[in-house]
Amino acid sequence: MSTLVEQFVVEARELLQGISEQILALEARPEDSEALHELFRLVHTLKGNSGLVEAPAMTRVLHVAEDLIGAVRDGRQPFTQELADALLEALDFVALLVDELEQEGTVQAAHNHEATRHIQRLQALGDGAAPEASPPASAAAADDATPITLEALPEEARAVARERLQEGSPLHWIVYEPEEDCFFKGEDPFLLARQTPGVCWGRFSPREPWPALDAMDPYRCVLRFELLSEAPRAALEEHFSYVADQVCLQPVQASRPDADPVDPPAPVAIPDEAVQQILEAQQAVLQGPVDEGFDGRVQAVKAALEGLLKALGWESARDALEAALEASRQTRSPEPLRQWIAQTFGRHAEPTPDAGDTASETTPERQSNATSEAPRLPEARPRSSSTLRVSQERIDALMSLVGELVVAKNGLAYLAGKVQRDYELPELSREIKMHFAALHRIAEELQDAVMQVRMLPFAHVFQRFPRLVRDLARRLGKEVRLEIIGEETEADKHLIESLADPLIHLIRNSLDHGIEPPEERRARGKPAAGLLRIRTRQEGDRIWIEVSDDGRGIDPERIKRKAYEKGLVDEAALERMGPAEALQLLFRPGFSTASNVSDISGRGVGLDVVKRTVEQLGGSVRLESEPGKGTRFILSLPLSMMVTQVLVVEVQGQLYGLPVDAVVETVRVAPEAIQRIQHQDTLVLRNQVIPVESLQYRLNDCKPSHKAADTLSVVIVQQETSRVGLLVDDFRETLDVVLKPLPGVLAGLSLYAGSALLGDGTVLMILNLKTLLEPCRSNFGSEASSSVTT
Amino acid sequence: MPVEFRKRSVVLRDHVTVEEAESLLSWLQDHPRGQVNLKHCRHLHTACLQVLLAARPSIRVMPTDPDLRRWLETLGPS
Amino acid sequence: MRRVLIVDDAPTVRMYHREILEAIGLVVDEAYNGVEALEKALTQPYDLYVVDINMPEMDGFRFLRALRQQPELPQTPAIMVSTEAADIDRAQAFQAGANLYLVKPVKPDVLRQYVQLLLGEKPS
Repeated sequence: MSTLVEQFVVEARELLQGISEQILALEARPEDSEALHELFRLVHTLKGNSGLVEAPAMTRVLHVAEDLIGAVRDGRQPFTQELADALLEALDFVALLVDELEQEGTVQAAHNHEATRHIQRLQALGDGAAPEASPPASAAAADDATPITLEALPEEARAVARERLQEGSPLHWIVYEPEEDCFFKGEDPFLLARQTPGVCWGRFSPREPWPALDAMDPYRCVLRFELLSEAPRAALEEHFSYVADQVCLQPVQASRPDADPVDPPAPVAIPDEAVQQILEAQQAVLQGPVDEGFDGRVQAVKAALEGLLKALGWESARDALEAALEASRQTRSPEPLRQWIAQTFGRHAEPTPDAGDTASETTPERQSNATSEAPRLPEARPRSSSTLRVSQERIDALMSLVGELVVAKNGLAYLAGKVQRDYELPELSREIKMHFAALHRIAEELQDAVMQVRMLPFAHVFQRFPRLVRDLARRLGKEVRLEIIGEETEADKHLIESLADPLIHLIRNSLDHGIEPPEERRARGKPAAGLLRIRTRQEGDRIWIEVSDDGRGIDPERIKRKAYEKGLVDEAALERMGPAEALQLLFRPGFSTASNVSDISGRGVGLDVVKRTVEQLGGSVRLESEPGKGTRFILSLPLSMMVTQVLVVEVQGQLYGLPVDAVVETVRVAPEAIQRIQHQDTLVLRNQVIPVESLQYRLNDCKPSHKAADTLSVVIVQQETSRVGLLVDDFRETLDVVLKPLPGVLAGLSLYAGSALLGDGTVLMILNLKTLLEPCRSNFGSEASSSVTT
Repeated sequence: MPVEFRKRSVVLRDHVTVEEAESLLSWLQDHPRGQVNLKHCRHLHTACLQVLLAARPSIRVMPTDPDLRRWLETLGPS
Repeated sequence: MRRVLIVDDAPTVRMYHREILEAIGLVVDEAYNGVEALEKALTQPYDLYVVDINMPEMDGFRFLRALRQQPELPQTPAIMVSTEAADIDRAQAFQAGANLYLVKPVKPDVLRQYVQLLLGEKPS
């Protein structure tokens, strides 16, 4: 994908998000003119951008949407629910195209049909109040004899017309609007248009938006034809004589009404269209007022003309240009420059008639007006934006590189030890250690810095909620007011993104089961619209998220009964269970069943998945509810969350995690490779003697009972400067886990650095190598440790 | 036959007359992804032209007739 | 080395224009609105400006008017690019001191051609 498309996609998503926010804001307050202007601006920008990538379907839809919003903005059209629906759906379609653009790099032409459907729907909405902009020359308005100027022609026709005029041909502009029932008279307007004598340009367009296909009457003619013809007027009148009342014939005139179109060409060969455009523009600039900017403008005009001369290889004319500029500056009149242009390029460069009367007659009053309006340099210059947009993938890539750096730097510590031990170079060893320490510090800071970059506000996920709530509420026939508090609270991107689905689930749950239909709410004396509130705040190193509603609440007795029915609890437990405890049953796997699975919240995912996701993030979830009053979910999550990479090992059927950055390598050796030297098992690996400890023994304080295997699995770990081999039953995969410190009683058992919840719901204990390998300070008592002292 | 309806496309040839407009419309309604082959088409009656404009099917082959092709280029090469 | 300043609040448009202009060997700077553009123009001479109309804080008209009032600056050509094709915008652009008005999206070859003409290069 090209960088341009990439950039477009990023910006388009942002714009679409903004657009949908403004539409929702307008739905709530249709009179909010600020939202309306913002909406128009956003759609306009997106439309402009879409023209830069290959996505005509997108541009077409956005163009019509922009027109419609413009009509609303100008008060020609009310902002209705129907309009909001149509706009949102059209924008969903645009979002789809953006996705496709991102994935494929192009937009399939197959979408044209769908685009047309959206366009027709939008146009149909706009039809009522917004009259179609009349074409530049409508058959009804223009008088046949009145000439039409080049400028009044549609842009596409202008170039052709200009060329023909320069060749000296008479030219006519023909607008033919056939009668609606002309087919029944055996007419074929398209054929008539094609057969027009001397036709050199033509197009057709509908006089009204196309209806849906099933509503279309193919026998009603709604086309308009516009043509340019070089044929003599008489021939044209003859050709259209049967439909004369439906045709408007206007001679086309060059820019100046008094200019003879068949004038001999100017002394200098007529430059191509681009040159002409530039010349016309300079003439237009020279028509500006003589104000503070005058000097600057004439210099810029001169610079532009100078460029043109150079490009055309007419550098001999430069001196005259220079002189004209000086004259203009000194007399503070554009006249010398204008004359120079006319003399050098001929009369074709002269300005358009409608703007040609002001330049030399500028009065003093006008000057002072212009001066007072001229903007000055802003006194306090706002800081220029220093925000950089970076894609998430890049941050993620950076993060994983930082992880690799952390692990790689450990090799340096090992090297220092080796230099010391094997080569007895204490100086060098110390130096390496110093470098290691510096590298270590930098790596840690780098890690912190990247973590900071990854911080995102909750707004990142909350922004989709208004639309979600709106759509769900409409589908369920409920009225819901969404209140979001604390969307600026920040947390790690991983956490924010992982929470999106659980939060969406809780919202669906509230709308589906919590908030009552309006009639029911009224009957209970509640406002018809339910309140759904999402609140986040940071407290110390934890993030709290509440999702609450004022709906019908949950009856703990019903939950208990259901849990019993499903065999989730036995009778005895049921009796002991208090109401608060009963509510937590909702989080049990298997609670969610067909009886409460609906289209909205029941997608085979129950609250148990919400709970598991939150716990995987190192958090917890609680449910509070008061029947008749409402329900509240409270999520609590750690603010900082380090992802730790661990190697999973197995010991006696139990899994443990070892931090990967301590692991040097894993080896499988024959049992006889491990030899006992001075009460210590050792392993010789590449000429180095490594002490070997049984992990099972360390953990359980019991005699190792490794089966007589062919090979033994040893994990070589680095602890400070020494290496130790840990004997395990087997190695498994390496995993990224979120380390959660041990709670309560277990916290004292510092053999473990913490625990992590695995995807399947099991708990993995992560070993703390430091305490594990300090033989004398084992937590399992001095008796045990004395027996393993080396 | 100026109009030949195939499984996924419709082939228009020579002069497509006003009589074909209705069948063309209903075919395009039934085949929203249907394509149009105009290769050998030399003229389309305005009624048929309108149907194509309203339905905006993808034009698989533009006409070889240079004049008709120029006119139809506004339909886009979709 | 010729330098061009692209003034547009839409990053996509800036990138689009940048790619076209860099392809003909120009050095390109960007500014996201008139204020930033003016700051840049005052510290660094440009051979050409490519300016959008609608921008936050200071739009393209105001930027050009301010630019043309800086006596110490070399007054070089400015191309105004906008999605608006209306004559009124065109007229305003010229009054402000734009030397050319192009309607967005400008096709690469069109922009290239005009830039080359204004900078005195043989169109490629």
